[in-house]
Amino acid sequence: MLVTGPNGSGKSTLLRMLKPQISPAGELKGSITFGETDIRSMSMEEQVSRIGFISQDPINQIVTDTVEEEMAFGLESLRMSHDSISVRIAETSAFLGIEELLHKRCLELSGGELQLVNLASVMVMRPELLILDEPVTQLDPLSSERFMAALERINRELGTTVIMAEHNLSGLLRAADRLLVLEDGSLKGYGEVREVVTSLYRDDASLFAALPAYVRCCLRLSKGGICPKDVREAARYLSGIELRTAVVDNKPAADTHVSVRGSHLYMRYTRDSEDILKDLSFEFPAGRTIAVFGINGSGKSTLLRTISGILKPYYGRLDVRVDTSSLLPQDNSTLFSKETVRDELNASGSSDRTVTDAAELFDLNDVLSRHPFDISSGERQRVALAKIWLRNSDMILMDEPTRSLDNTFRKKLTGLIRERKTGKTVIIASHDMEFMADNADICYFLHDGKLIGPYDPDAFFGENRYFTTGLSIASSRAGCRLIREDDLVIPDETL
Amino acid sequence: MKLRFKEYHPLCDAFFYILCIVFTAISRHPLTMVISLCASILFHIINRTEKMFSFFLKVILPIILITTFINLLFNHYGVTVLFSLRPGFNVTLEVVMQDILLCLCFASITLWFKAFSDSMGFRKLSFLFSGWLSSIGMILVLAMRFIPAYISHALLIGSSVRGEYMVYRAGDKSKRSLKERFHEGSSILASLFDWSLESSIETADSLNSRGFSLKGRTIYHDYSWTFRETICSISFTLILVLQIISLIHGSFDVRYNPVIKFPVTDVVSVSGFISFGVLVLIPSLIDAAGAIKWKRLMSRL
Repeated sequence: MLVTGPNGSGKSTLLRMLKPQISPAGELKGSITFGETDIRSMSMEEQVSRIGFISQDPINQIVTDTVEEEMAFGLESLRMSHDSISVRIAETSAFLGIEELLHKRCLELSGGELQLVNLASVMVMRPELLILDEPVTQLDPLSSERFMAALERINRELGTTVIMAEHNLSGLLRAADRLLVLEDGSLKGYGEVREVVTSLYRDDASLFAALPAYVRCCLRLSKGGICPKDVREAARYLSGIELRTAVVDNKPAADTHVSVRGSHLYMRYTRDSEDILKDLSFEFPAGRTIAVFGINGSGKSTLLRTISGILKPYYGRLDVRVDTSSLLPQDNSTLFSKETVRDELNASGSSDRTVTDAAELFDLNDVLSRHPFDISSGERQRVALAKIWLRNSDMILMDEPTRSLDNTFRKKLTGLIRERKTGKTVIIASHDMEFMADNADICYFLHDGKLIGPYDPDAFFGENRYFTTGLSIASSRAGCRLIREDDLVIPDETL
Repeated sequence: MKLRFKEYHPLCDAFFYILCIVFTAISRHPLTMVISLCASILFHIINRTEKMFSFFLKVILPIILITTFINLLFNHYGVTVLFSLRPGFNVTLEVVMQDILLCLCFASITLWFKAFSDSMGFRKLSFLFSGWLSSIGMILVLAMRFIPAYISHALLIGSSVRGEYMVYRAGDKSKRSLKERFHEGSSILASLFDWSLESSIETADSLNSRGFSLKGRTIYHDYSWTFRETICSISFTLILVLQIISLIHGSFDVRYNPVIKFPVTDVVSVSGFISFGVLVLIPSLIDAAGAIKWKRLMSRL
């Protein structure tokens, strides 16, 4: 079952109430039953063994040194013998395909591998119910796909009930049987996936925007008749109809000024490590949004940090022709040092008025008096974005800006970037293809330490099979390549 | 087959490190310090500890230099004046010798602690602290894990604080004022503090949801007590007895004020030094023997 809703809608609170040991403090009215038993009357041992929980941050859940020790931890709590623990570890690691990680130290693993270890550490206890709170939010697309495939196997082959909260539904609808939609702490919809998704379209709900673009397009074209759960179903539907494309021209007027130029840049972290950027040369025009793509670990973050001046290339020349820049880091928690969200915004804003405007624009009025670490991950990302926005710098660099954001705010962020970027240069590195397709003026691909490009966005997304949007793949069968939802003309769109 | 000292039973490992660190710390004799330091360096060389020399240069040496400087600045006892910077500000042989002793002591203890942390992972500590001490074991393990995590996160925060608003024209970082640097430092500390609290809440949730608070935890391990551990433990116990006799006899009690005075060399003190030397060399000998055995086994294949 998939639990979705905008940031701060209560997804995490709901999931934590299903695991009494980690339930949030407060008054609980009503009851929660697990099978036939009231969940609060279950013994601690039963709760531990029958209900598993995995949260968002892969590293903070780790409590031991090696993967094997991590997997043994829960079973030790359940007082199992050495032999039983050995068999369970062997069985679970083989099922999840992580045998080669067993004797590795946890701190040496990537985020994706760590989250699989967290999954294994819970699954080794053979829970009947597995609860996951946005487990793939901090993972790159490939790790996320691997994790989701493992989760699907757990559900289909072991019969474990899986309840997962996630705001980005791309690629997740296919695996889900049921969908629960929350908004402001209330139930907005619950039932079979297609029924709930279709009802969001028919009710013209704001949460309709949370759906992947290919689902939205199919629903709009079929007037709610076709609700695809994955790209394949969308492609099948779109191939049977004639698509009309709109001419959308969001491109800003060409600006001949250069904002930043790099010549033969070389960058590595230590003398013994390998070059991350190798003989890298580029010229980014002012006033444009530059999208930087690349596989995981290709050096996108290093490039942004080098351009911002945090890192110094050990060879080559970097010529920055703007006066100021602001960088949104991948880990937003590194930006916060104040007691409240209001203080954070005040620290970055030049006047009370701009701070008030930012709070309004970034939907932060409800959390202004709260500590930045006491709000949801999506709200935290909005605070980080607001801080960068308040700086009003000439060049804005954003590393995975849509991480943890719900789709509604992603759309809003696109609008904010378009408004703000007059004369400003925006450089974005992200794996979020729909967001990149909506925003990019120029695309670059970072591979083997070099930037390949520039590409026109339509050509870039139109030609690629992986670094492209779900809608682009689905529509290609119809002989017409749609990159983004705005490219589509819906005839007589009335309900 | 146990070819390395770190593969020995945790009780045996812990027994060694406690004896080695405690006797290095309480001895005031330079010879003990030299023996301990040389043995710790040898142990790291045999084990090919990565970045041992950079650790020595980056961590140990700066602390040694600072300690020496402070000691010379505030201590002027002793009668053998080497030179005088101004009236009443004498640098004496006694202070310099005491300084050297402190530096040797600090360097060798740090290197033994590094060997200890490399050898005693979560599993060994959990095993040692199982039962009513399991919470202490967990705190120790998490503390050992958090320290490197804090350092790397502090570096990340530092770069984020700078990157939030970078001024290029007048933005040469080397020209930042002391006030700006202080402000940046305090922001990093505040952020690190918040992050560490937040992380520990998530870690506590992870511990709770996997039943850490349940009574009667078992310990998953495959440690075995073999004849090797028995021999080692008997040796350690004999050395412990000899060291206690030497300590009571005052064999390691060198005086540095007002003049340097070494204790009388006799059978007890010689046996004290030899037994200490044997103690600190045991892990290196075990590892070296293990390496030779490994080569011999490989040559038969």
